[in-house]
Amino acid sequence: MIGRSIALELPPGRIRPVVRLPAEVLSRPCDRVDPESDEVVALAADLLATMAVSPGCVGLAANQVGSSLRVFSLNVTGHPKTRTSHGAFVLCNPELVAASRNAKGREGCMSVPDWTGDVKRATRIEVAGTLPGTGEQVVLATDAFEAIAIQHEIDHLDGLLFLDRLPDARALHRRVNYQ
Amino acid sequence: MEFVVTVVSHDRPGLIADVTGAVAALGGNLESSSMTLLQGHFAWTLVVAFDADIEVLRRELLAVCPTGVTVSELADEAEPSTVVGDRIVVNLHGADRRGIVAAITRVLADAGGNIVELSTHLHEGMYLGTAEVEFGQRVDLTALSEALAAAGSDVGVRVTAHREDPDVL
Ligand SMILES: [Zn+2]
Repeated sequence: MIGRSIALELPPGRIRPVVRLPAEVLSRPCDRVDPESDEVVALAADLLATMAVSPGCVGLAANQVGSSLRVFSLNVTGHPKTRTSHGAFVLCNPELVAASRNAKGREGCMSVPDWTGDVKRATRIEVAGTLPGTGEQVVLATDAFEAIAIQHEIDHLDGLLFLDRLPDARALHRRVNYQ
Repeated sequence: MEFVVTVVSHDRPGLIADVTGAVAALGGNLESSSMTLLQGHFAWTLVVAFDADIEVLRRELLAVCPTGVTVSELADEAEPSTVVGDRIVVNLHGADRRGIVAAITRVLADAGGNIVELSTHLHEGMYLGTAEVEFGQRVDLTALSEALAAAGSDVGVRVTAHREDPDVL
């Protein structure tokens, strides 16, 4: 595993319910935030706390807990498809600044519980954004599973679900819950 | 009450709009459907929820598509469980001959697999197919692949299997 873990100093967060389709907040673009505001710092802590108690959850966008704000949390540590990892982190106002090497994978989403879809994503990306609290601006270069997960979360912030990216009429599948 | 409707017809623009319009006009609800073109023929299967006589539904559908409509009542069954042990995708391709699908699906059935999606195509002598198969427990993918490859080689097709693990993001 390569990549530097991002150090965040955040207060303890609250666990918040994850909203599901057809909640309207999932299909609306989120608003830019002030990363140093108390509201955003609390939201960042809530996202990490909620992600930590959700089995199999590697990323969470703010609108998935009902806040229409451009903030997401991520933690792909230990996932078998992870190469580069930046640990558990939260990014505000993220922008994809480079993307290459597309590959197709099957994705599910906590907000779309019974379905999965085959979606094409870049496997090498650079993402720019701001850390909550400190306001430090960062550019993260990453690949493989972390790159795919970041694009999925940025899509959420743009009001898009994997359902909006299905490439053909056979790409939607019932989600299987393994015993 | 739920009904299964099948529509098999020469393709024409507006056929789907006409059928769904007839269902909606009767107060029916189109629940799920799967449509494809098979050798240029339109083939569509629908599940429709509808509080009325099956004969009324049949008559209205035959009015918009005079050939190739069947309507039958769907027996009440419990929703299938979405908890399974494993999900495998099987791909096959090779020169066409009789019995390919029978040979390959027999191997899957003998291994305890339940096919949940299947599509096969014959085009200019080439046979292509994809199946998604659910199993009650985690399968030995190497052993299953070997059994499929052996059955495939008996009927002259290459068969491969891989596990499709979705990532929840
Ligand atoms: Zn999601």
